[in-house]
Amino acid sequence: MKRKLIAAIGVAVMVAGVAACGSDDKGSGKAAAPKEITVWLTVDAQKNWPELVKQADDAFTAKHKGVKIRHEYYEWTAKNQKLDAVLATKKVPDVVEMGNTETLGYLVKGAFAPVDKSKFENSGDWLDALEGSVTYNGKTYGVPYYAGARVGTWRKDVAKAAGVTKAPTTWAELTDALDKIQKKNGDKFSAWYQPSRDWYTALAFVKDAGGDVAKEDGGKWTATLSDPKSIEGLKTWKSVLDTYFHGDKNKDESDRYIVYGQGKSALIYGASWEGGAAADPKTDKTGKLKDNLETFALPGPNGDLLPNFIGGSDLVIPAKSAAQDLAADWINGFTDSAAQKVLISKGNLPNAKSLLAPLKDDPATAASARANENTWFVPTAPGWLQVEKKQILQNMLNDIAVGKASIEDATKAADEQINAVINAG
Amino acid sequence: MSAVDTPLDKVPRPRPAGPGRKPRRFGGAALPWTLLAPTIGVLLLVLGYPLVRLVTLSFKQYGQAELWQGLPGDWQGVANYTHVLGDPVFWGVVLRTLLFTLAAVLLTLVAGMGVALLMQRVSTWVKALINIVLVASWAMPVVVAITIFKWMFDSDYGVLNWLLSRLPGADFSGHNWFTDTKQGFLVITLMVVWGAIPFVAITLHAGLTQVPKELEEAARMDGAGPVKVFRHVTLPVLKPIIVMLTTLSVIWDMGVFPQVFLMRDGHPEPAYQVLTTYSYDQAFVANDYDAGAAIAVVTVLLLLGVMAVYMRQMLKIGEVE
Amino acid sequence: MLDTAPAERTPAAAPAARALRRPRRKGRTVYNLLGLLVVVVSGFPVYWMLNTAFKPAKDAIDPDPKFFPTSLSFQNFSDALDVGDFWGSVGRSLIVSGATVGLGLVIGLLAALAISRFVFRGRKAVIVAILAVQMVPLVAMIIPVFLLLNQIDQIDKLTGLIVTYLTFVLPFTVWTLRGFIVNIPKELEESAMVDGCTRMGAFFRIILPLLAPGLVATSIYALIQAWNEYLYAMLIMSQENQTATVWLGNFVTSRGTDYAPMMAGSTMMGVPVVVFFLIVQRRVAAGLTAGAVKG
Repeated sequence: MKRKLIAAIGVAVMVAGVAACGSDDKGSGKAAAPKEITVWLTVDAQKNWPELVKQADDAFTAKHKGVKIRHEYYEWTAKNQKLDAVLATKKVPDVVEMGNTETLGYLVKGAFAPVDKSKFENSGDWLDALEGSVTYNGKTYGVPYYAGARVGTWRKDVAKAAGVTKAPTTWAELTDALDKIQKKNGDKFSAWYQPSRDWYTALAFVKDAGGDVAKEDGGKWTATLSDPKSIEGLKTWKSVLDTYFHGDKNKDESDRYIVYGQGKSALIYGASWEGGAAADPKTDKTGKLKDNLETFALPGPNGDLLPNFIGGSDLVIPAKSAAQDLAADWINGFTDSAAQKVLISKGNLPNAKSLLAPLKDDPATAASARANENTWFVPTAPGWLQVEKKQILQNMLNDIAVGKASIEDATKAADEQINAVINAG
Repeated sequence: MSAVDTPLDKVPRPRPAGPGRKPRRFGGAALPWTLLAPTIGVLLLVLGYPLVRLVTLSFKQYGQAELWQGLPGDWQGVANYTHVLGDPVFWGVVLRTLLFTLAAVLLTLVAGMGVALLMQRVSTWVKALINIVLVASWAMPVVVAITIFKWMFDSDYGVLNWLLSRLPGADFSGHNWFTDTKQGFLVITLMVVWGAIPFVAITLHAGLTQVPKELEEAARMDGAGPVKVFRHVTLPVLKPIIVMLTTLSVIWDMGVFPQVFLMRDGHPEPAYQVLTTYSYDQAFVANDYDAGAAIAVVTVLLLLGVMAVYMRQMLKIGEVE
Repeated sequence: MLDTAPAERTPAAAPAARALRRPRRKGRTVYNLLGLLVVVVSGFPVYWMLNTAFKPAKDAIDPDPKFFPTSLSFQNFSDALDVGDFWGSVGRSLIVSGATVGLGLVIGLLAALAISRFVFRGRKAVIVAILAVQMVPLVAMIIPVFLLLNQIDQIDKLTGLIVTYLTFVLPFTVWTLRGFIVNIPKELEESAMVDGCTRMGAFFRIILPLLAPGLVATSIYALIQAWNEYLYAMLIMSQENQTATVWLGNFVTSRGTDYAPMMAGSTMMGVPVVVFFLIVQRRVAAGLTAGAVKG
């Protein structure tokens, strides 16, 4: 309790005005015991693992009798907009789910309260990509919730028809197989359906070639997409698109599983749930997906696996929350080992390395579990969220893919745009 | 043609109430102001006051930190304005918005008038059908309408490409309507016009019922063709409504937001930015609330400029009372 | 809907109109065909919504679209009802829309009368101001409005939402009603007053009935605005006090849009608006007849 109080004082400078309003009537340093907590999650939890929410609620209510839990579920884009506005009021949520690339922009402005890492299960070996996203100036400001890896998913039946019987393990095997598949199915078919705006994949090629989006020097970030190595990666990516992707080059990856379900392509490289979603009878128009999907860790041109972007979610506590202890308790029940088991069963990666290891032995999860072998993450720069929100990378990739701009020109323009925002808080 | 020239003669025309004329029997200024009080009160509170804040915001440095901590923000003078007005990208956005508005307003009014006139001329059952369709499409939440339009125009599973591909010699499968900005804006304009027609058509139709039938009749007796009757009898009566609808359409189409924003998945490409999305981008994407406010203020001023002609026109109509 | 124009109902005009239309039967067929074209084109999105709502969810997205449900299914509706709090959100939407329409009409009519029937200093300024406030893009006002509602403690309250919507519909209501009032000759009410009607009486018996079409147009407009508004509802209300449009947002997830239940949900949401429209339409007919007789 004492430690919590000290931690709370850490943010008191910022919250001073608000906190004063809230605890004036009490007088003593200790705030009144809150009667309820508000939890904001994204719709994923509501749609895909409501039982986990209930499990966490039950654990929480058993410990804190009479404290009510209010749940609110938001769709990703609406959530931040609403959060920005609500943080200006006194009635802020106590727990908020944040994407791991979203947190930093809020951390630099002191929006979230620090948490006591030791209170949470598995906090010793949280996944780096998640732990990094809640760490700022050496302090922890949130709890990793779950992660998602990218896996290759392809159709065994299509591969077999083209004479390929085994999932590729090297880049040469992969391109060889794709060549055969492409040849067999004609140029209306996409051997690899790879939407141009899917920047997670494009940047994986950049990383694989030794390039990067931006690099830090003395606290200052500079965009490096137009560096020779980055361009080399983008060239490989572009040739993949030119050779194997014959669909709509202006689309993003949001409906990839729907298009894949329509049977117009053999391979997708996307989040691990996408294959399953495509095989759902609602989306599977071929009727063959269910029995013929195979997932594997996608090899990269460089000999390693293609660097995997580890996206994921964290749970944070707004600095203005009046029930930070209770919030932490709820988060604990929602992220402990038992909870991670539920999340794994839904096709996610757990938040800790120790929980990840056993997944490699299970063929159903092996591909995504291996993803952690070679990962990459976005620059941890204060202005990164703006790079994402402004769609700088997506627009650049789109221009390259449809031939509106050469790789050299497009990257140069993108570098300028990135440099303009990446250091701003 | 006398009836055609003075269409309103049969309807007692309201007398001009010029400055020299005393508004007979109608009390002093207290009554009208009392009648206006609730409207003005509400508008001052929820639009006026925030508007003042918006303007002051545009002269300040105001980001998330200020918002969350309730800080007033530091004054930075006209920096936002000099930056915005000196930015060629901004002027590109302005031009795009104006062109789009022009196209959408013209299409909306012409099509709306067409539907309204048609409704007068069709059989009752067709009219009932038109009414049902108009109201049902009007009632459709914009969010849903956009979802449906996006879906209809989808390159992989859109019904439009499918239908067009049935045409002999046409292959639209996989055609993306948003690759070419012109086509993209065509789709967006269609959708905006589609959404605006019910309101315009229903209002114009209601207005048409106010056109005295005897007048049209008299004009026809005098040998005026349908076009002349429309121009010289119907249009003058409808004029206040048309002016009003044009004004509103200009305002709405220049302020179009969700249709562009959501059609482009919440992040319009630079070539799809219009004034509102541009302002939104500055405020909520870049979290630069002051810059967004400055763009909004400039938008309002531009609108006022565009509308100055119309406002004078409307005031003239107002003076006839 | 508004096929009951005063002129058509007056005994003198009716035969004339009939005589006029008789020789143009052929024209009528052409017009009917054009009308049906309008119905098909304009109604397609609505039809697509209904079609999707009633066909099995697995047929919703199909590269070879099905234009008619192969089998009628209500599964999408029950799926939609399972998500979140549909009835509660619809109830709140009804309250908010009803209050917005009612208040908007009463307050707006008063203001419209003031600026179209009275001459007073500052009238022009008021007219211009009411027009000008409409030009402020609402998107840009989010933050200031939010801060204001926060200051007066109206965040997450239906009253806060109602007041906000009122400001959205009031300028429009005033403008539209003014347009209709201008077209009603002042002499009508003056002569009624000469005949012994009070000013109020003249208003209720003469102006109001003649205004019916305008009132319908504005009330439908206000209803639809309030019923369908998304951005402000999403920001101002917490989820447990959410309105129906925001409820629809539940179907848009990071794992794609759930088309089938979403269309079922919006079908259900469209019902109150259409019902309101039908009710209003009857009232209008009655009001107009009354007006014609008295006038």
